[in-house]
Amino acid sequence: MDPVSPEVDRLFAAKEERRKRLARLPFAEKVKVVVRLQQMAVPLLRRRGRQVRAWNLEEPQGDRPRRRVDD
Amino acid sequence: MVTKPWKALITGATETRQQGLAPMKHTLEVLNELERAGIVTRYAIGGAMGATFYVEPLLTFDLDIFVMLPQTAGGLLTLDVLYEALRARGYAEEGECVNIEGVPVQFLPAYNALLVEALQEARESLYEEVQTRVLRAEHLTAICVQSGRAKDRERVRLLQEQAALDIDYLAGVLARHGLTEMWQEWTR
Repeated sequence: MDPVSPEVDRLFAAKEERRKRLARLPFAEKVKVVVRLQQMAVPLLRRRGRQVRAWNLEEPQGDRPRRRVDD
Repeated sequence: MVTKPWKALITGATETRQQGLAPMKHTLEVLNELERAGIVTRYAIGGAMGATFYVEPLLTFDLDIFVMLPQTAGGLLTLDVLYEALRARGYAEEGECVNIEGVPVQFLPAYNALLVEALQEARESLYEEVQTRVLRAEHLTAICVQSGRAKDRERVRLLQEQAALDIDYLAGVLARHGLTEMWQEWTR
């Protein structure tokens, strides 16, 4: 019997459990995770020549007027 | 102490939660306003972000929004009126997307019967306190089967694993749109 297998099995099981936990997060939390993924992926993809950028995370303070063409 | 991005993923995006950030909320408010103004008849979130509603977060750089548009005189599906309305609100086009409140939004008109049905039966949901709509997991699955790309196949696998699909409902969708055979091939 391969002595490494139980440890590898445990690692894969933990990985699978984390994916299930992420799938159960509220949608708004998942969107935040997606933005974190974007922030991690952008430098790698830009190096490969893809023009991508992470979504703007800035939360406006108070009642911010909407942008209009006459602003 | 600086929180590493990977740690935020493992701990459930602790860093972003601490900052109280709500990406996409204002984007959805703009979409709701467009619907109220009759610029689009109905909209719903689809694509990778739609799937993310049901499964683990998926990396994407744009927000796919399926739209039903008011009938035009010639019966043509055109996004011109929508783009014009967005320009008037100060939102600029970036390639095939429109940047709305920091999020590149790709609008996709419902160009076939499956998409029309998907939009009609999309689920009402709340994002933070903002009302929105997301395509049903079964329709997202059927759209993947219809699109048929490698990444769609992978998404179908995830939806099967994590989305608690209503199998009877899905079977009906697939049958109505001639996708049963393809589905059987993909899930054999």
